[in-house]
Amino acid sequence: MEKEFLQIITENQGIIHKVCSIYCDLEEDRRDLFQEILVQLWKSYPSFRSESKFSTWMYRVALNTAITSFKKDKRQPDKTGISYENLQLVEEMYDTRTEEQIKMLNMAVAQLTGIEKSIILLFLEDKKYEEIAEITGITQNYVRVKMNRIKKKLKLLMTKEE
Amino acid sequence: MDIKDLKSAWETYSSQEMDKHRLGKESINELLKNRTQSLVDRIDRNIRIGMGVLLLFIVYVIIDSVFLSELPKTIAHKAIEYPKWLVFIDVFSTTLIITTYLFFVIRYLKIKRSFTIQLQLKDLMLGIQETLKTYRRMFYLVLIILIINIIASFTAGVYQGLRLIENLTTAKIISAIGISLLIIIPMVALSFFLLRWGFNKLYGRYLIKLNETLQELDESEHAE
Repeated sequence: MEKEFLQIITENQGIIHKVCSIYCDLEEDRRDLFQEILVQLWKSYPSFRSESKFSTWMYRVALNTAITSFKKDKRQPDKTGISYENLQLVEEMYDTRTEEQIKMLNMAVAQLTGIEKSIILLFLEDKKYEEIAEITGITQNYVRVKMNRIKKKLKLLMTKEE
Repeated sequence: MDIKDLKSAWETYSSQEMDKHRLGKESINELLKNRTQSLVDRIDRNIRIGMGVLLLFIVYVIIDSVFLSELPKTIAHKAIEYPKWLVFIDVFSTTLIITTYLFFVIRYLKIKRSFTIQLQLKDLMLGIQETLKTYRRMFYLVLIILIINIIASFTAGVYQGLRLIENLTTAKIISAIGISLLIIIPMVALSFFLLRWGFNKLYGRYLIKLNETLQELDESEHAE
């Protein structure tokens, strides 16, 4: 089972990285969260039944772990939303427009609550409302309501930054 | 920036992050091997240790009331007839301690059995909240058991003193009780406030965060 698990996680690790990207802005936090998600996936793997898609199950475990993770006081999230390391990397790699967009996206996302982050992540990943509802355990109607609010909130935050 | 730009910015950013942090099978295996305990795992371990210590204490209380209660008679070479109310206090306090402990253990096992990270978020958060509350209750349980035990022993001690010591004046009894209370009350109050402060210091901020998220989820139900 361990080999099978390692294989499937190696192939789908992108999901964990995406969750870590949206919830952590410090490298140390990111590493801790990645490991915690991995451990929770390993613990839950024996009880995974193929009733839902593997990616749906993986998103649920990863997001649940991220939302309920316990951060020590000394590592409070930085409200600017993007780490210095990432900022430097972004500047090196992209053209000015993309770089500006990424910076703005990070800054705006950092202002969202845990649940809002999970919804926007799934939305950005092109998930349908039905699947977002299945992953987060929120009803489809409320996902719609929440998504509209998040869009407005992000627009406002990004306009302020511009 | 509109939603379309937002999506393309995210796509670029997340793929870059993925390339930067991608791990091989061996590295993932290494992370799994060196796994650290999560908050719930740590609390679970602490509660189990606490349960073990409490069980030992309860065994001691039972041994004390069954066997060691004969000790004063042997020391004083006098048979002490305990009044019914004192026997009642002893039996009642021991029963209360055992019942509370069993109630605590059953309740915790029930929470543990239904707890899994795969739950729906709201149930998961309620589970974590309940685990933390149980952890706090365990500290209070220790304190309550200690208080009950101190009060029962204190009452029995005063009663034995009255019976065994000759020339015991009312003034001496009152001052003995007064001094004992002066020691017990601040000790209990201090322990209570220290426990509360320590718990809030460790998990206060986390509990607030949990409550806020639960409130946000509750809003979703009201919005329906």
